[in-house]
Amino acid sequence: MFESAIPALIEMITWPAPLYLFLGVVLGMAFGILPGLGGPQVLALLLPITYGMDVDLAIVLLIGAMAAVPFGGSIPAILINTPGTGQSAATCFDGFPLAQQGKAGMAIGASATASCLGAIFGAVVLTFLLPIGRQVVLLFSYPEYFMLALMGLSVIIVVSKDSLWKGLIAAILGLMLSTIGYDPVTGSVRFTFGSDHLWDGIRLVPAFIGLFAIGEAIELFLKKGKIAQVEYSGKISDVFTGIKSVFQYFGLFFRCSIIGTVIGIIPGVGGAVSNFIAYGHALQSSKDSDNFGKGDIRGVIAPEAANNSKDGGALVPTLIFGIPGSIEMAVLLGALIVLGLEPGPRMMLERPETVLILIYVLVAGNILVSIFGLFSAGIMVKLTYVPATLLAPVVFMLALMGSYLTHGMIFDVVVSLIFGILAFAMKRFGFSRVAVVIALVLGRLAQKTFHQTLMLWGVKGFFVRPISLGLFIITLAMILFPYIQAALRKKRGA
Amino acid sequence: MKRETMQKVKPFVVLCLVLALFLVTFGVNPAEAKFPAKNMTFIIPVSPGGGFDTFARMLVPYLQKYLPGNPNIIVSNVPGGEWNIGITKMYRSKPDGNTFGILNWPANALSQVLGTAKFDLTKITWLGNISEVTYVMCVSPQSKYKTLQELQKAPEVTSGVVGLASTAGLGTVIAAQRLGINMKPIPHDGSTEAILSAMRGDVDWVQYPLATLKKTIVDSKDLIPLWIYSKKRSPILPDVPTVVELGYGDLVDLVTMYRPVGAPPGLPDDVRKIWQDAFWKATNDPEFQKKMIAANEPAMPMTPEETTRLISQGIEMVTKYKDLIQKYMK
Repeated sequence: MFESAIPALIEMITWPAPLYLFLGVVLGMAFGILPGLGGPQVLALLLPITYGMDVDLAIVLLIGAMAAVPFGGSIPAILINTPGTGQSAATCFDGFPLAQQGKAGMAIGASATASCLGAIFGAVVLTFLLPIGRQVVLLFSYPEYFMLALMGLSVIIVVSKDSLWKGLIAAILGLMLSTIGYDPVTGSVRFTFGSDHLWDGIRLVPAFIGLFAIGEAIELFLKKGKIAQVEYSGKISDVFTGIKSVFQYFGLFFRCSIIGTVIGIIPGVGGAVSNFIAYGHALQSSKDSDNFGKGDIRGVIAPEAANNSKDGGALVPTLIFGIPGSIEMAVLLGALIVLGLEPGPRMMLERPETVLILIYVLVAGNILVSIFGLFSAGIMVKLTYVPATLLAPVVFMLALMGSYLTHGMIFDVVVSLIFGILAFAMKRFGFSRVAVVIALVLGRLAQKTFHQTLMLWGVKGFFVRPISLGLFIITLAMILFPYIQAALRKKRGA
Repeated sequence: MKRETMQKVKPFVVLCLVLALFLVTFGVNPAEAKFPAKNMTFIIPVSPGGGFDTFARMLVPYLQKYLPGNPNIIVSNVPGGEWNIGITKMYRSKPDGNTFGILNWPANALSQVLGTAKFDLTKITWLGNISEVTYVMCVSPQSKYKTLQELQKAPEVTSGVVGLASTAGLGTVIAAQRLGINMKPIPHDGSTEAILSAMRGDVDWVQYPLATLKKTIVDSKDLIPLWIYSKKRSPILPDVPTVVELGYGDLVDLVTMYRPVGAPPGLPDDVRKIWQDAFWKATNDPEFQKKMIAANEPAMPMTPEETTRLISQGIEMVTKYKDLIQKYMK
């Protein structure tokens, strides 16, 4: 495969490929920014355009758009606390508090840099993993999925350090909500109150939009003022501080990129999970974690690195087995099939050039979108200085439109509004919204894989497999570490 | 004083404007009665990605070509409730020929047979069928059971299914019953995960469309095909027997998936005629057929009469297995 490295690169920089890349990136970024729209939608939109196009150019267009989505989604997450896509939800946790402190530029700088480098990391891993990827993919089964979900859930303990009880109440609420809809085991429907719309459970994007954007819009209406609680300084050096911060915490960035790539590789766990686990890792591995949730730049770097490196990872099963690792990949796979390609074992042998172009475009698209992001950061930051009475209605509109757009259903808008009120109440009484989100995302995965494991192997299934056991021990260690540390400190003090 | 009121009034005015905008955007319902309208809606009751979405979108340009006035066809994914939300939406739309939708057959018969559907599939104005999907039964190389006889004797065989309301899931349950295999379905979120489970050896048995499994069984030989649910052997798998050869020919119709397209009940006769004519021409367009072959799923056009028959026969077939399905769904 590697002998095609140079020809593929030449192909990619030959006119009109850069034009298609540019168009793809602009469109992908726009879809990422708009809440409710994301990777699957932009790919579905581009699909008919690519019929009859040159295969390589079509790939440049599609992957360029796909690559630009995650960073696009992080921009509204930082500026107005509205994740543009589900994958950017964790960026809200610290990105928005930074914006409130007038450091939106710094957050965007860090996000752009971590995104871009994360994607490059994922692509490099993808390139070298392709020859041995199949073994890696097949290593993970239900017990491992369950342990990953458990690891994600353990993050709740860390984010609710103010009051463990309130955190647990929020988490249980999230878990309860995640049981709405199809029972993943028997296929019967639960807690749907006779509504067809609840058969698939609470959709994540409308819930996120409600919890963050609408909750925030209500807050803005009441508080007036501006998002940024400082005077506008007009300096853009913040952006550079953000870029530098990624290198300052390079170890963290690196570990989170690994987390993102690995989770991307595992089909069925999905991008929505990787950013939470990375965020949790950042929290748990930091000695001074008091500032997290209140605007710690590390809380931006971690999820951003993970949600971009995961795309490289997700391409591993897609290219090796022809099996999509995420919804985006499913749409992409459909597009490739229509173009006459057959992703899978044969494509790797027969069209190594196409595979490499795909990887290059993933990298190039990410670099391009980050550059757009860095250059426009100065203007975008001004949004946080717009008076709340003007901004809040717009946020409200965009949020409701976003929840409608995902599936074109008014029901989702209602879900968003209910979650918005819930979020407002939770914030008032000091309950963690993050805990609800994490439990909602992971509850279903945990439940399904728990039953799958029990059905096939019984309880011992969790503990006889090395990776599953290893993940379990790591999770335990992460939960217990702060207590052990506190106990030791006490002993030393006494 | 005045300024204060202004500030108080301002957010209120803005809110009113927002609400007004909502009313305008959501309230407008283009009540176009003419056919074909400038914009038509093609409802796909699943999310983008996957066969139904891909092939429906592939057909759109050809429908545009043969419908009078070359209307815009807007593809609308309405996923949820195992197809029920999308089908209901199509079923309840105005029968003016400007809204139509694709169905998953025979899986979509399930909600009607179980009595949960808000529609009557036999009343839909069927336009035709896009293609037919042949299923292949595979076992994991790590499985202890590698022939039909071994499977029938096995104390328990695990199978990777995606819900019972899919053609694959429904087909697996029915096939196991008919073949006398003690099967335990292990639910998965998608065919992807189920196929990977079989590759790892976590489950014994999966059955999915031949086009989906081709790369896994022909190109990389990660799974072992035992039989295919078809009347004739497939040129891709010349050594794999058909279920007819094994003596269970009645399973072919139960485990073959169709992609029929229909419009709401009560389409005016003139509109129906124009539509059915255009649909037939579109699915028979040589260029479209070439694309379908390239995508590993040759087009299988059916006349409206054939499609209508397919639907009523399907409902009958699934009704026979109602008790079995209910047992699994509990």
